[in-house]
Amino acid sequence: MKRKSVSYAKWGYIFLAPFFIVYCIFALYPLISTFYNSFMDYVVDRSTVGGGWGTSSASTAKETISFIGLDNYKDALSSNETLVQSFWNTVIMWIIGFIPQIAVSLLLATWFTDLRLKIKAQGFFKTVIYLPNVIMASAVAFLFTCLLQKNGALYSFFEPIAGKDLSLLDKVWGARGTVGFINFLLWYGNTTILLMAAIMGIDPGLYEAAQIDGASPSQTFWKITMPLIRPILSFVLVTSMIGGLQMYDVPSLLTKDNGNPSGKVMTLIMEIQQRKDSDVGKACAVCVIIFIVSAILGVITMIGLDDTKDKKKKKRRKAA
Amino acid sequence: MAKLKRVLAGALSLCMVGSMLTACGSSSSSDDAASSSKKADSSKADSSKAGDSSAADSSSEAPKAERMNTAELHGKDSSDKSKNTLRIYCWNTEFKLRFDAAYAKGGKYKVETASYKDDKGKELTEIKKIDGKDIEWVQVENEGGAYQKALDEALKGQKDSDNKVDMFLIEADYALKYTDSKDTDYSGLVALSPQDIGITDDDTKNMYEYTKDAVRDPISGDVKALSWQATPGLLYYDVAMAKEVLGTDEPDKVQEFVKDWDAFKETAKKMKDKGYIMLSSFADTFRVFGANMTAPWVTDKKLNLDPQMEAWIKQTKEFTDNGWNNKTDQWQPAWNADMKKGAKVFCFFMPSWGVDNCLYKQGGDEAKGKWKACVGPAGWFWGGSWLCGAVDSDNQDIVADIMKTMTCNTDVAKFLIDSVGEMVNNKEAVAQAKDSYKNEFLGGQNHIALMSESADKISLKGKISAYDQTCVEKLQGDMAEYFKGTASYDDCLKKWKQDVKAAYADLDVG
Repeated sequence: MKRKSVSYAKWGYIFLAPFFIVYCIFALYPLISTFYNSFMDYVVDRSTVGGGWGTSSASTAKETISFIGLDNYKDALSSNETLVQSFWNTVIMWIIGFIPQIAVSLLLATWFTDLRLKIKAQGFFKTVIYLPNVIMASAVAFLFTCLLQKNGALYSFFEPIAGKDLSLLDKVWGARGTVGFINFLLWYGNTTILLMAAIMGIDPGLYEAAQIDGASPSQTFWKITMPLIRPILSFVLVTSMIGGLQMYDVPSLLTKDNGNPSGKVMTLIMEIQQRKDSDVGKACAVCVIIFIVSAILGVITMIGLDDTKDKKKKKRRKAA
Repeated sequence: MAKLKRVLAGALSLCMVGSMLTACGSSSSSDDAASSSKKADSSKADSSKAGDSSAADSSSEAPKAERMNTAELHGKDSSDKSKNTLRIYCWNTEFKLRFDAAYAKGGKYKVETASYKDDKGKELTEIKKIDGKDIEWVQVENEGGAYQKALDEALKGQKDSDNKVDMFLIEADYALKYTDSKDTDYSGLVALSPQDIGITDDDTKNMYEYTKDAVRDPISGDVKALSWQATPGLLYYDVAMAKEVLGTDEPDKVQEFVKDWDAFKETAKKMKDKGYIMLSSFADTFRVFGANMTAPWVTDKKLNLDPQMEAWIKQTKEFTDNGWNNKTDQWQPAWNADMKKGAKVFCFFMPSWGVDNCLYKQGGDEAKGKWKACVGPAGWFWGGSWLCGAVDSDNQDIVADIMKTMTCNTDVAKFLIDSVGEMVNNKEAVAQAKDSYKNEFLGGQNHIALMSESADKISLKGKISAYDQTCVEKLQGDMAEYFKGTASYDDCLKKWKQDVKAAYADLDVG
């Protein structure tokens, strides 16, 4: 029998295999076991190390594991737990950071790509804008702790706002604002670069045509730029939202893991980190909740910003 | 085409969700058996757990099980590299500095040294090799339980690892976790019994009893860890402020102004009138109250707030509202700054190790003569560090000699007194220092003599549990808001209970 063509497909699969193997071991399996453990009453006794030297074979700390169905979820969402509060904390701090981030990024991206402005030394500015993102979040959080704590450089500057002998971090909105501000600082550069790439992908002819027709800059922005970068905008929104839900290092370091004042800066991942060594079942339940919420948010955003609807409309118009 | 794509995408995502759910279902059914067997295990553990209270009240009781020789190899044999390396887990350089300086004064092994500069540019010598074997210090931050976590991981894997931990340090706040074998089957065993590696009762005869009682394994009755220090606390006051405000800087006379909490308060008022501040942080008096607690933080898995702690909260609130403390947080830069020359804070409660580790470390040579010590309003102590040999260590001879040299040798103890003013865990050395010792940093005062009076009275019995570090750190962190006036007492207490519950889900926090 004569072969008609050579199949290269198997090489594709072979080269793909390492990713899938790694993914299965380090992502898929933990994901499944997280789901599984979230239905368990899984509590570790941390008062002992459990070296396993003794006559019995138990080599880990004492654990009690039994199936309890949805109780972890009920507990996690009940009002005497802090988890619901932590969820709202996370969302609020994300919004505080995201709104200025997207506004500033859009503004900068438009300026840098504007044909009439012709800003010089763009490479320099782009690098400077992007720089904060290069620094580790933990380093920035530590820097702000140093600045804002007692005897810190900005302590007395903020004292009129925070109150006598208080740091900005002692106030709920001060601490939340600081977390949001740090996130804004770290990520607006990244977003600016993304949006610039999107804007530069737009046909310059459209801008020229708009200019000739006498459109004002704000008109070009709202009527040309915004609709055409929508896919990238939705990408930025979704990734930022998922990143925001996983907010951990900055609030944790700023509040020394306490999430104070009054637990109002505690985020969901901080809750998980606190519980994971002992209250494994509930920590898993929180993970699953985050997973589900991320998925829902993602789907909503995708639907909301999907441009296929417009295309459909256009098609219909054409048909008509 | 677009439609086809959508259908395809939909089908694929359905597949994914489907596979996820099937995985869920099958694994939970297959694991039912596993979980029920584990359940059986745990119920067995429960029944034998009757005596497994977290309190240290069992030291006087008779051993509950036959001794086992902890020096035997239990797990996998180690690699050559591990045999040629001495791995020591610690959370700061306190012991390393003592070891580098003092081991050669009494140790039997040959050491190779190298010099290095510390962060202040001071030339120091460190021991690189002992008996031809490298020393590896694994240093992990103590705060937030990070050290415990790292150590637990290492000790849990010790049995199956070919790279063995040889020695580790523990602190009073969590000593029980590593010294209590937990069960008659020794399931909690992680530390070598010194007697199994050749350290006799005679070697440890000069130690203060409490340093042995606190780390006695209720299961075997063995002392599981040895300490080179005793940790009675004193009140260190600023000489110049005492002279200006109280009219005297003599320790005996200053003591009259701080002899109990009422007098202490009066003095705080006087200090404020003259523009000084009595204390630095909210937590400065914490350990004075904590050392006099009537019950441990956790008894029989139940969390309780001791009346002494309530007293601390009440007093600190009063001090904060009246401006008698500087509203700093312990261990933070602002607290450290209050120890420097020229700061406005009058006094610090410090345990024996605080003079070298805090007052001298922060103040430096500039602060020489700034501080003097008196007993203060109550007798107290703060923690202490112990040395443990790890079970299955592949350098047990060296570990034994280090423990013996650093904690039992009287010459080394005397050297530690003279060089760093350490309150050593050696009654003989302390008795000699009582008459002759002078601490240069404290303006020639003999604070060892002051401390030796209270060292005999220290008892950790019924005061420590394996959960202390978290309870203490969280209480201080959460109560800070009450002191600052940004949250109510009840809210802070509730937050504290939630935090402890999150860290230890099996506790009843009430």
